[in-house]
Amino acid sequence: MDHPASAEPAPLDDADDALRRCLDALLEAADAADLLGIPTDPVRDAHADAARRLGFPSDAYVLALVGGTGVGKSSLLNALAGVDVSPASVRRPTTSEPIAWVPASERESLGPLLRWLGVGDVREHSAGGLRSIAIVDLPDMDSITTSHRERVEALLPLVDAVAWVTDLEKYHDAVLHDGFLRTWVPRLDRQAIVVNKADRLSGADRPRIRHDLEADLGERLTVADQTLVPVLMTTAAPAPDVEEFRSWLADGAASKAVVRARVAATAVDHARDLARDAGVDPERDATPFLSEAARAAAIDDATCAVLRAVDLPGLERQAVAATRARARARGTGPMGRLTSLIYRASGRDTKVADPTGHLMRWRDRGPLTQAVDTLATALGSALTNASPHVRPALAATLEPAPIRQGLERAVDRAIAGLDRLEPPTSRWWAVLGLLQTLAAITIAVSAAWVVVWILARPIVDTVEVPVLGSIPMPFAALLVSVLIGYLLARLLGLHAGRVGRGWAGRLRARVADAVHDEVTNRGLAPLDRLEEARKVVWTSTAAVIRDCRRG
Amino acid sequence: MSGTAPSALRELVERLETLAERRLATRPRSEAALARAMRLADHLAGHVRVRAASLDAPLLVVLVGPTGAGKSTVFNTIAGRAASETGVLRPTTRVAVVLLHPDDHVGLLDGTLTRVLPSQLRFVEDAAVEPGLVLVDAPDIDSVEHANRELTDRLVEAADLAVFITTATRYADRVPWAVLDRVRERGLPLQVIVNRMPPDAADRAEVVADIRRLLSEAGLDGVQAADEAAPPREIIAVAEGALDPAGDRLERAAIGPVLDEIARLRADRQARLDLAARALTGSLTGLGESIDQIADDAEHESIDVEALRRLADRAYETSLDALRHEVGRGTFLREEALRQWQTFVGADQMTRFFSEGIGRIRGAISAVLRPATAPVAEVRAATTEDLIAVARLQAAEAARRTATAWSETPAAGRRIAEEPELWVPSAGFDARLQDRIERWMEGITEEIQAHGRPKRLLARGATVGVNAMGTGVMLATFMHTGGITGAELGVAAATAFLNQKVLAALFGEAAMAELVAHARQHLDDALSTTFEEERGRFESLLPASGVLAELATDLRAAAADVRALPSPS
Repeated sequence: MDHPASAEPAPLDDADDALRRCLDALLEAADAADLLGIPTDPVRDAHADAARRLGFPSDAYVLALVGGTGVGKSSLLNALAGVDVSPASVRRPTTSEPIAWVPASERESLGPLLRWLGVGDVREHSAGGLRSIAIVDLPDMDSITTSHRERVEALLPLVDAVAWVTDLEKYHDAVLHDGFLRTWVPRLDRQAIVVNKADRLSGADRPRIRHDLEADLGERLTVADQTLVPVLMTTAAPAPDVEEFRSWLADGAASKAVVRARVAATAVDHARDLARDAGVDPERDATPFLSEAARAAAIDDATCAVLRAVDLPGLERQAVAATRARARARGTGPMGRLTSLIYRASGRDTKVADPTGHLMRWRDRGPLTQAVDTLATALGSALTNASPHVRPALAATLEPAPIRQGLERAVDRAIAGLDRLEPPTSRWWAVLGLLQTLAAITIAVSAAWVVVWILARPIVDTVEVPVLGSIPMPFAALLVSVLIGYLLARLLGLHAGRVGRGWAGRLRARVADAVHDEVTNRGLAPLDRLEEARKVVWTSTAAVIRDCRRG
Repeated sequence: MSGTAPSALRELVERLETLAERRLATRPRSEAALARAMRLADHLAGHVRVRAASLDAPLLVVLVGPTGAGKSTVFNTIAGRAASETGVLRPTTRVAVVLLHPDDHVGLLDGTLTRVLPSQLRFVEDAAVEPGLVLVDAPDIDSVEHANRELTDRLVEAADLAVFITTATRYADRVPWAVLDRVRERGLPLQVIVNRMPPDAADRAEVVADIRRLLSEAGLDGVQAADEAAPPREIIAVAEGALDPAGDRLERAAIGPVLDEIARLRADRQARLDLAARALTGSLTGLGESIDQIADDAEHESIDVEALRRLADRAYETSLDALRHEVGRGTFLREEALRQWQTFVGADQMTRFFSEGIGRIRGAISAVLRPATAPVAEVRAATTEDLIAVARLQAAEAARRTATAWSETPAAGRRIAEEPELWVPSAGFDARLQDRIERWMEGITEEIQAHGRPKRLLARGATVGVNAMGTGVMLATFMHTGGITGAELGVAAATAFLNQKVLAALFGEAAMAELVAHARQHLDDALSTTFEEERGRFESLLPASGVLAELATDLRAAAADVRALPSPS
C-alpha cells in the first residue's frame, strides 16, 4: 500500500480549489467515521464554520485577543491604537462584550462577518500597516464570570488568527495551557503569544521567559510540523512598548492566505483527531483491524469447521454410490435394471446414493458452532487491539447470530452454485450392458437346454474338464455363461468404482473450494463494512492533510 | 476553655476516619466525589484529629494564592529572611516551605502534616522564633503543575489560619475562588492580602471595594472576622513595588496587620488556643454538610453500581441459560463423533446386552471374532472441543453485551476503555474449562467404579471398559431420547437411543438415570463456575454489593452525631 499523505502532489493548481477538495475530504472522513461509531459533531461543526467563513468576501482577517483577566488585552489594543478603543479598568473582569477595531476601508465589507461573529461594538481605525486586520478584543477566559469563558470558546472556532495575551503572573496558568493552547494552537495558523507587562522584567529574565514558554509549548504541541508560535514581549502601560507586536501584525500576511491557512489548520487537526479515534495514521500504511494473515487463518479454520458439517467423506461415499447405481442401470442387462428399479422404489437410492440430497441436508448434520466461534474469536482479538472509540462498533460484528446466518448463507450459496450433480457415465457401460444382456440370454438358453436335457435326455456332447471329468454340454454352457456374467459384473463394478471415485474426488474439491470462496466473501461481511469505512477514514484524512497543506 | 476536647469528639474522629477510608476504598467514580472524599480524609487527619487531641498543638498558618501573586515574598517578609525563593519565573515554589521552631518539628510530622509526603516539604528551622506557630508557604493553585494544587489543598485542610494572597490583576480569577469556597465551608479563619496594587489611590480604593464585595458575596465575612461578633478584618493592600531594598521581601509596614497578628499569636498561648478552638469549631460546623455530601455521592454511586451489576448479571445469566439449553439438547456435538459412537454401540456384540435369544448368541460370537473397541479418546476429544467452542461463544457474547452496555455509562466507560480484554472471554478461559471438563469426565468414570462394576455386566461376561461406560454416560447427559426410537432418522437420535439401551442394559434403568443426573449436575456446576469467573472480571471493578448503600447510611449517622456535638470552645 502506498502512503497517500506523502504521495506525489498533483500539479499545483488554485489554492481555493485544493482547500475545497480538502474540506470535501473532511466530510467524507466524517461520514465514514460515523459508521465506525466515532462522534463527528465537532468535525461537522468545524466544516460548517469553515464553509461559512470562506463565504465572506473581505480583504481583512479577524484577529482575536484572548487572555486572562487583568493581563492587559484592552490596554494592549489601546496602546496599539494610540487612543482608548476598549475601556481598561482596575475592576476585574473588565471587558464583557467583544469589541472590534477594524480598518475604516474594510468596515463595509467586514459587516456581515462581524455580525456572524456576534461582535456588535465596532470601532474604526486608519492605521497604516494594519489595513488588513480586524482586531477583536475578547472577554477574559479565567475569571469568576464563567459566561466570559463560554463566549471566548464560542468565538475561537470562528476567528482567523489569535494573539494569546498573558503576563508575568499568568503565563504558566493551567487555564491558558490546558484549557486553550493545547486544543487551539494546532487548529490555528497565524498566532502569537504576547507576554504583556514586560517592563517588570530585567534584561536577563526576558529570554528566560521566552525560552520557558517556547519549551512549554513545544512539549504541549504534538503536531510535528507546526511552526513554533512566536513569543512577543510588550508593555501596554504606563509607558507603552508594543513594537514587537505591531511589527508581527504588520508582517505582510495577506488576508486571504491567513483565512485559508486557518481553515486548513482546523481541517487538518480535525482530520488527525478522526484518524486517531479510528486508530489509523494518515501518514503511514493503513493496517486493517484484522491483519491479512489472521484473517486468512480465521477464514481457513472457519471453512474447515463448516466443511465438517457439510461432511465431505459422506459426500464422496454418496457420489461413488450414485455412480455405481447409474452404472448398474446401464451396464448390467435386464437383471440390473430390475434391481435398480427396486432400489429406487424402496428409497434406498436417495438415502445412500444421492450426493445432491446429502449436501442439501447439511443442516441436519451439525451446527456451525465451531465455525462461528472461530470467527468470533478472531474478531475479538481485532477488537481488543482497536482504539477505544471503534470498539462498540466492532463489538457489534461479534454478535453470533448474524455470523451464523452469514455462514449458513455461504454454504447454501456454495451448494446452489454447483450444477446439478449428475453422476458420470461411460460408453463402456453400454457395451458391457449389451454383453451382459447376451450373457443373460446365453444363461437363459443354457438353463432351458439343461431343463430339456434333464427331461428328454437328448444326446449331447460332453466337455472334458480336468479333475471333474466329462461334463455334459448344457451344464458347461450354463457354467461358462454364468461365469462370463459374473466377470462382466465385476468389470462393471471395478470400472464404475474407479469413475465414481474420480468424480467424487473432483466433487469434493469443488464443494470445498466453493465453500471457501463463499466464506471468504461473506463470513466476515459485517467486519468488512467497518474495514471499508476505516480505509475511507484513512484515505480521506490523508487527502485532507495533503490538500490543506498545499492550500 | 481547656486544652483538650471531650473524649466523645476523639471517638467520633476515629469513626469518621474509618468512614473516610472506607469511602476511598470504594474508589469514587467521579473526580468531584474523589476530591470530596480525599478532602474529608485530609481534613480529619490533618486538622480534626490533631485538634481533638490537643488545642495546644502548634498552629498552622498557611499562605495560599495563585501563581505569581507574591506568596513567597510575603513569607520571606514574615520570616524576616529569604527562606523561600522568589522570582519572575512561574511557578516558583514547587514544594511547601515550612518555617518553624525545632521543637515543633516532630509533632508536626505525626499530626498536622501526616498526609503530606516528606518530599513535598522543605523545613526551615529557626530557634529564634517562639514555638507553637508554624508558617507554611504553599505552592500555587492554578499553574500547569497540577501536583501543586493537590499539595495546597492538603495544607488548607490542615490549616488553622489561611492567609490568602492575590493581586490587583488576579483577584477575579476563578480557580482561587474555588479554594476560598472550601475555606468558607470548613470555617477556616482567613486574612486577605492584595499585592501589586495600582499606584492611584482611587484605583486602589475601587479594587479593595470590589474584592470586599466578592468576599461578601462568597460568604467569607464570617471567617475573616477576628472573632464571631466582629466585622471582617481589613483587606491588606500592598502597593506595586513596595519592596524591601533586598528585593526578596516586602517593606514590613506593607503587611503590618499580618505581622502584628502573627506576633500576637506567637507571644500569647491563650490567643493561639482561641484561634485553634475557633478553627476546630468552624471545622466541626462544616463537617456535617461535607459528610452528607459524601453520603449523597455514595448513594448515587450505589445506584449506578447496582445498575451495572444487574447488566453484567443479566448478560451472563442469559448466556449461561442459552449454553445450558444447547448442552441439554446435544446439538453442539459434531456428527462424526456421534457416528463413531453409534458404530460402537450399534455393533452386534453391544446390542446383545439388550437383545434376547438369537441376537445374544450372535453378539457373543461376534465379540469373540471381531471385538469392538470403544472410540473413547476420539469421542472425548471431540466432545471437549465442541463443548469449549459452544461455551466460549456464549461467554464471548456475555462479555460483549456487558462491555457494550458498560462502555455507554459514565460510571464504567473509562474502565472498559482501559481494559480492552474485558470485551472478550478471559485469556485463560479455554484452559480452565478444558481442565474442568476433563475432571468432569474422570469424575463420571470414578463414580461408575465406586458403585462397583454393574452386576449384570459380570453376569453377561461383558468386557466393556469402564472408560467406555463413562463415555456412554457422558453422551447420555447431552442427549435425551425423550420417547424417540432408534427407528427414527438422524445420527443423533439413533445414537442416543442405542446408547441409552446399552447403558440401561448394563446398569439398570434406575442406576443409569442416577448416573446421568449426577453427571449432568456436575457439568452444570463446571459451566456455572467458569461463567461465574468470567462475570467476576466485571464484578471486581465494582465495590461489593451493598457496601456503598451501607456506607451512605453510616455516613449519615456520623453526620448527625457531628451536628449533635457540643461546641468545643
